[in-house]
Amino acid sequence: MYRVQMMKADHFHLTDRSTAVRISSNRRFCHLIIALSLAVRSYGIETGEASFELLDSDLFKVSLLTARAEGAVDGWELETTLSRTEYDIDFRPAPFDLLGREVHVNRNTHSFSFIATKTLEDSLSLIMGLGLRDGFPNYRAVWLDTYFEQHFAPLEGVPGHELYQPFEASAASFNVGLKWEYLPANGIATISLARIQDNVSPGYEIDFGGIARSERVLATSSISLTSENVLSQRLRSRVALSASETSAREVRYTGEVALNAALGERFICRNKSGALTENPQFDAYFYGTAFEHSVSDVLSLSINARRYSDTGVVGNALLFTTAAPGLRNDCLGIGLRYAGESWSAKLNAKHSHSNFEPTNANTDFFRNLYVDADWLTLQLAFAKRF
Amino acid sequence: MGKVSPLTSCLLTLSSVVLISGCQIVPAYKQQHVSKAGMTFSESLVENSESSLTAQVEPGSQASGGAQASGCTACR
Repeated sequence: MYRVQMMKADHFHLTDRSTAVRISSNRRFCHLIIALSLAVRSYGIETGEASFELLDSDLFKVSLLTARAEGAVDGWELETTLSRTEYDIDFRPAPFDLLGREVHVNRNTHSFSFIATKTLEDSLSLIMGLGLRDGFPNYRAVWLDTYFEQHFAPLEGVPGHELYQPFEASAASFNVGLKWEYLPANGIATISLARIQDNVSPGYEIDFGGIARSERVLATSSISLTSENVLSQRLRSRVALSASETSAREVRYTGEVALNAALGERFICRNKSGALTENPQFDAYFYGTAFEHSVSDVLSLSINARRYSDTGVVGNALLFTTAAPGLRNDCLGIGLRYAGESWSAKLNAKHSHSNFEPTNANTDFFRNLYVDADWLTLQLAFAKRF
Repeated sequence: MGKVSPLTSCLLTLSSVVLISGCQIVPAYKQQHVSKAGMTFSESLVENSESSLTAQVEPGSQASGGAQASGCTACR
């Protein structure tokens, strides 16, 4: 497939940047598949999983394919995950944007993560993780990259134009942590340190001095503490707290509480709530709840609802002019889960409505990015225990 | 850190309560309800009730760090 695309690209002299980016991305995806195959072959697989997820609205479509394997070798528990995200975007500039033009954008992102856990003592384990991403992290970044390409690539001769370069986003991360089962079978605490280098697609601005470019490399350090507890015979909880600091940004604090309750023999209620704050004024909150009913020993039906709101991204790693306005998102979904002896599967469908605050003079050019939308989310996953 | 909102305060309080109340023992033979599918917290693609694409629509919902951060390095 890759060879065919190369031949096609050569035939058309690679004049389209998106084609070149796609081919380069596919080449790296092949390398990732080889790496995953080698990693999986090196240890015995205990569980293999695959999932397909789709997120769709009028202008944006995101699809995600994920493969995950768990196994063990020489006292190490290993998790390997490989994913491919495809972004299909109908890019529409603002009506008054004279330089922008409507175009369909397609980009692929590939991610790889590897987590190894080693038991040091009876109740203490060491966790080490490595993550790689090749491509854009979200559809917003794809949209903004297209916007800057249309507005700044043609400005040859303008001072600072040499700063504009076609750029491919990527990221690498490493984390290390300790897991302590401080109450046998009842309480587990995990502390983790992570370091992430994020090569972002930069933003650009122009004034009388010429073109200026934002940061291309962002480094993030974070520390997180997670505690999972069995509170009673019918209650299980998890609390996660973390602090992270990114280049030229204030510290971001996040907290999340999840509480699962077994109501009777066949009903489960899951609740999850979280908050995030970062100076100067970014706050986000979410709350979700789900009710699950076991219709048989292997089949469960669920209904879930979720509300999210934030105050808008003030400093979103690009220039301030790309900052998103405040957002509220409401979601309602249904799910079906099968749990057999060796096979299990899940099918979920959700509908959500996102409602942005109006854009202002600084962000009017992005009104078709930060646009109210109805989203459909589909999720299908399978797991096989060996 | 600036002014803490009431919701953040409630969340921190609730976290503290859950942490403190977790310091009791429920014997393993009495954990049949909290051990069944749907009650556990898992990274499994099937058992995890969250969609991996949620952060696309809700950029502030990635509350966990560590290993999860490697999959979403620019969710700010």
